[in-house]
Amino acid sequence: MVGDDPKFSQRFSVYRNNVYHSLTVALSDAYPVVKRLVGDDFFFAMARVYLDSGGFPVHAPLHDFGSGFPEFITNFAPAGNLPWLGDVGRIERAWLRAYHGADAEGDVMNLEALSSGDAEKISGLRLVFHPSLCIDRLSWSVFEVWKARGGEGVAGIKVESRENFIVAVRGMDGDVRVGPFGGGVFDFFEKLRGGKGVMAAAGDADVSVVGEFLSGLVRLGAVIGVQE
Amino acid sequence: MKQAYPIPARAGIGLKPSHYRDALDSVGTIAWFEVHAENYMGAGGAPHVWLERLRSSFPFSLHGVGLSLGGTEALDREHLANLRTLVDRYEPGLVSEHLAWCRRDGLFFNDLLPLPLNEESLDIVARHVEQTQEALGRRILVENPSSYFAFESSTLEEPEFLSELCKRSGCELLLDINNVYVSACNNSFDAETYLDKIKAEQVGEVHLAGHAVEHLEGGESLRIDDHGSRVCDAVWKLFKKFVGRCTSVPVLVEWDTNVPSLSVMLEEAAKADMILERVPSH
Repeated sequence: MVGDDPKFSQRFSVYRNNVYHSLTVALSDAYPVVKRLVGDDFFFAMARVYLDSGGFPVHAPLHDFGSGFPEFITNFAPAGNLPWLGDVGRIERAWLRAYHGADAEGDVMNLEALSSGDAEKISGLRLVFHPSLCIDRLSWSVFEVWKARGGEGVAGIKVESRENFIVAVRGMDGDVRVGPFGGGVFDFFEKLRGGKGVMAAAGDADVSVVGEFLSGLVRLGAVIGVQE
Repeated sequence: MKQAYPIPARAGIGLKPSHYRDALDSVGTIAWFEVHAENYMGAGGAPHVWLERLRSSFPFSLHGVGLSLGGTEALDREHLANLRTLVDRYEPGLVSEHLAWCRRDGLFFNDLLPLPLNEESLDIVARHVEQTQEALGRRILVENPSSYFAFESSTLEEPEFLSELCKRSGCELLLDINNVYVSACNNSFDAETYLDKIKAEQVGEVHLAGHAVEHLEGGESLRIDDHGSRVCDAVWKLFKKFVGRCTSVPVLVEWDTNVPSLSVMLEEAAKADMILERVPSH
């Protein structure tokens, strides 16, 4: 049997089909909400174009495979009527990264200081975040769409163009939690993650906005300790 | 951490995440299990929590699908290091990989792709197996592939190639009898003759699985190794014949697509156990 034999090409295509099939299935496992929103046929066609435009995995473990898919979706013209679809993918990616992220060593500790309400005490604290924590910036308010898992409730959700970001983190119970936050506290958060104390990171930001954000992070399980 | 249990000469099952919880409730009914190494290469989280709990209850084997032993490129050092970390952490009873390639020019194809069987490829695969065993500090098993065509550049028959690979590298053979049957049907050779050529003392584990039949244009049919159904009668028959000349060997039932309930998988394992127990001890 040789290369130009039609029997060979049918048999060769078993391997080619297996490669594409296994990778598109892996992508659909990673982006179930995106798939549900666009339907199986559209998703698999889009995944195929993604693979052929440089999307093949580079590592055998597939945890990081498809990390460029949300950006690809955002620029994928046939999905142009859902300009926010890529942002839904960004939430799914953050969820998956948190799911496989590193474990925290030891238990949650010293959060009493943070929940004391003592502004002076809080302002000097440095926060320790769970190592699985992932963030991504979004241009659309798609959190509710993701939360509804792309299901029937989605039609009633109004998606707006709005700078925001999501935090995904695995709680000490092992479950991944995701929370949306307004874009206004993003720089503050980046400084906190960079190791700055609460006051130094906050600068002249609105105290009540900062306080609300911090309590949101604690509720999410993102903060696992504080250093005074 | 407790030392790993050795793998018994009984029938185990390939364990899927959907069965983790049921499996932990089935201590005593599962002889041992096998998981794909690559699914536990994330930094942390649930996969590790489950594997830790499961390996404390059952003997287990780590089955790799991403090392590309049959590729012409050098082994991926990062992947090998990840495998080493996993083996050190969980101390599996067996570690296995495939006679296949899956990596080329920095891309991973997530499939077990075929290679011609000749002196040149034997040199390459034997070197890769040796490097792997050196990196892991232990012997591995190498599985025979299912194939959809044969290469004109092959000069060695598969049993001969595998036997020589075991001799040169010190590895053992993971004999997948479903793969033998699938390849035999697709490439018109006799599966029994193939199995007769396998040296039983080189076999450290046997795999059993189901496959699909696809009808091609032109009336030809092709067996597809999809691990998506029960083991077929022809494969049971081959298995029975093969274990007739083994003193003892661990057997694994794989099921990776259209995964049924755990109880169906255990039924398949029980069938294999019945055949194993009928084998007279030497």
